[in-house]
Amino acid sequence: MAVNDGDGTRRTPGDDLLDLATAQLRTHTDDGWVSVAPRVLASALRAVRPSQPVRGRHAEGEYVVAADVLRTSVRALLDPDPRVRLRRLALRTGPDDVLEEAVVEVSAAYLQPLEPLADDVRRTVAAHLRDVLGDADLPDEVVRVDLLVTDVHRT
Amino acid sequence: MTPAVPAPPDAPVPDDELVARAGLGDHAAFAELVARHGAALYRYARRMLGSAPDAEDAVQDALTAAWLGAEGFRGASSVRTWLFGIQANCVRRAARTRTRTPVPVTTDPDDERTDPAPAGDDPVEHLLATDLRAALDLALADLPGPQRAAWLLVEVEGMPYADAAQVLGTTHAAVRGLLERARRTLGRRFETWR
Repeated sequence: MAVNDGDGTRRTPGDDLLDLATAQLRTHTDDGWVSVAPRVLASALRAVRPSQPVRGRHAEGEYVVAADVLRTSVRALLDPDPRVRLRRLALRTGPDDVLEEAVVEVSAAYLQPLEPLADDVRRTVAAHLRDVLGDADLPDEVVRVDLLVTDVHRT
Repeated sequence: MTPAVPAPPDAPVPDDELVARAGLGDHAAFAELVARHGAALYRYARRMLGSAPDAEDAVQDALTAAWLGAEGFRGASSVRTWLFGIQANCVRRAARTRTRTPVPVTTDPDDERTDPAPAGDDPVEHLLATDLRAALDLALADLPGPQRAAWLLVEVEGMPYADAAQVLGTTHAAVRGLLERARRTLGRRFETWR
C-alpha cells in the first residue's frame, strides 16, 4: 500500500526499507578501504609534483632549486612560529629562472598586531630565500615578499 | 581579511586549510584529508566500478591527482566536491578501460564483511542492518551507471543537487531526474525484500 510523502510523492513500504538501507550504507566503511588505505595514501604521497626551477648561485657557479623545495623549506621555517600559519607561497621568476617575487599568504593568530607581524614574516622569509638561493647580497627589492593576511586562527 | 572571530581552540582544521597545507608539501595534512574523505571516495568508486582492485586503483589515481593538484586548489567548490569531482573522472576513465568482471560488493572476498556488532547493540538489529545494506548493494549494481552515481552522491554522501551536478558534469535537473528513476527502481526492489 502506498502513502503520500510530505512533498506529495507516493511512498511505499519499499521506500521505508530503502531509506533504512541507505542510512546503513551512509555510515558504513568498506573493509576493502580499511585494508588498502595505508598503501593508497603512501603511493599518492610518493608522486613528485612538477615544479618550476628557481636559480641560485654560489662561489663555484649557479644551481637550480625546485619551487616545491622552497615552499617546503619556508613552511618548515614558519611552522614553529605560533603567530602565523603559512597557507600558500607563490613564486614568480623572470628570465633565466631568477626569482622576482615571492608572495607569502599566511593566517595570523587571533589578536596579533598585524603590521609588525607582516614586517617580521617579510624579513624572515626574505632572509631565508637569500640564504637558500646562495646570495647574501641579494637586495630585498629583488627578493620581494608580499604578505597577504587572509584569515585568523587561534594558537 | 576574514573572519574576525577565530575558531574554538579544539575545532578541527578546516578542509580547505588542509588542502593549502598539502599544497605546501605537508604530508600530515594530506593524510588527515584522506582520513576524512578516503572511505567515502572508496565507497563511491567500489560501487561504480564493481571490482575492489579497480576501486583501489581509481581511488589511488584520484588521491594522487589531488596531492599533485593541491597547490592549485582555490576554493571554488568545497574540498569534498573537488575530491569527488576528481574521483568521478578517475572512475569514468577506469570504467572505459577495465578488464575485470564486476563483482557485487556483497559477494566479493576483497570486501569480506567483518563489521562487529557495536557493544550494547541488538544482534538481531545488527543483522537486519547488515542484510539491508547488502540488499541495497545488490540493487545498486543493477542500476544504470548515471542513476547509481547520482544516488550515491546525493542520498549516500549527502551532497546537494548542485554539487552532484558539478561532480557528474551535468545539470541540477538531470540529477533530479536520475534520482527519481533510481528511487522508483530501488523502491520496487525493496518492496519484495524479506
